[in-house]
Amino acid sequence: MVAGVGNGKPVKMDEQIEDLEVFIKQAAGARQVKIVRRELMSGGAIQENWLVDIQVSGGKYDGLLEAVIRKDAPSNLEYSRSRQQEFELLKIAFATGVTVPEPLWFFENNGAGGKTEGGSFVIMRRVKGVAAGFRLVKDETVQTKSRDLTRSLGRELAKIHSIDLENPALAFLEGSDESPAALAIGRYQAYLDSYHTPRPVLYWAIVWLKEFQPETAEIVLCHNDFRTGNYMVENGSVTGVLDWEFTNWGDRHCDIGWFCAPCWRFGAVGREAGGIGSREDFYQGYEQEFGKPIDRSIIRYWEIMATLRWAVIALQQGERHTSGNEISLELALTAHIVPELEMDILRLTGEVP
Amino acid sequence: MHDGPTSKDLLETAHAVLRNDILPDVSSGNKHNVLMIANAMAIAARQIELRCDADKSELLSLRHLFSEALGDDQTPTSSREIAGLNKLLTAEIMSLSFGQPSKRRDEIFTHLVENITRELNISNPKYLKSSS
Repeated sequence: MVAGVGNGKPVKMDEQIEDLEVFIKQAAGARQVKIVRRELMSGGAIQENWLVDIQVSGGKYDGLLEAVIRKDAPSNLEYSRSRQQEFELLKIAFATGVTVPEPLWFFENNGAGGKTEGGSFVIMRRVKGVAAGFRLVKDETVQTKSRDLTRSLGRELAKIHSIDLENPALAFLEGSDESPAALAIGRYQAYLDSYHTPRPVLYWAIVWLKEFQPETAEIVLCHNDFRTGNYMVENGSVTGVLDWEFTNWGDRHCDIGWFCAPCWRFGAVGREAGGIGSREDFYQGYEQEFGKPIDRSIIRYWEIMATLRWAVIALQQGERHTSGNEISLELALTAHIVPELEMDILRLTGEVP
Repeated sequence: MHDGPTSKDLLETAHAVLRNDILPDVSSGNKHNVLMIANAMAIAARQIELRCDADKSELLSLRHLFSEALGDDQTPTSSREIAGLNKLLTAEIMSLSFGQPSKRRDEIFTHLVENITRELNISNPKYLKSSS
């Protein structure tokens, strides 16, 4: 057990550096590779993100390569993708024209050298900007360019939803005969049934969501974590959509509800599209790119689903801490946001649609 | 008898020192950590001050909600009883329907809103003001 105040995760990156340098040297076709700077980035409650500067001599990447290395955290949430799958998704998104960091290499260190326990690493080119939601919603440039930024975020999501479903590289994604809503409700209820303490408000949401389940819109590739805090912004423009670890098939309105849910506005409650801008600007940017309208009547449904989902994840994060698997103040505090989400659920379900 | 500053007072005073005296000099890389520590201390102070009354209020509200089923049983507050009544409540919620007006559903809704308001007064009282 490793204690810490930040993210509480065991920091074992140091012992991986040598293996990473050997791998990158080979992958980059370089004469020499040296990691000259590395810093654990804040955020990333589930995965670790390291800011690294790599001095590359020779080959295509000759010079200073500014990168981010994403590695597994000691414990994962259920349904979170492997680093290799995340790398594949990033490659497809990059090739499709979604604004994402350029994926460079995937490195599976099997620890064969005996020096490390191994691990999985995604190495991507670093993009400039800020992701932290609480900073973005207060940023003056973001507020000045709110309309354009909000529309461009709608377009980014629509580009993701336009990714070809038949792409063979996506074969690892799990299909289901159940509707996305029914599948999600079943998972959340199963978790709540197994949870040690009754959470009546979350069951209230379960019943509401079962009763008002909409027809499934067309199935698309859903990012499943597209929200403020998971994209980078520089000078009021999107520079990279991040965190593809929950991506899967789903109803496109699910991503829209997740983005607009009250819990992802970081206190800017009046700017209903992620605390950044107006809901209508976001919708219009999306519709222009996707070419089909958003069914506005069911977005509240998916916002309630989003709030329930975040509440379940927050309970799971708290359990990662209280179980002793990963002592972390950040995880412990996440469990304390559940009452906020429960109040959101009560407000959102206060009127019958 | 202990007559020194209470646990709540100690936590609140330490919290103020952390935020007002230490935080301004902390490196940007550690600001997030210090803010998390301050937040944890503030929650702990409110737990000490409000948890006992919040549990009593929740129990009274649950007993009122299930007064017919409980009869005259008025045993003292216990977290086990709260958990037991919340299981009853959860089972009843699972049988609810939202399609038609229902007095019972309204009673349950009122109980839930009041209870979550008490929980927010402990975990994040600012949320009640900012999002209302």
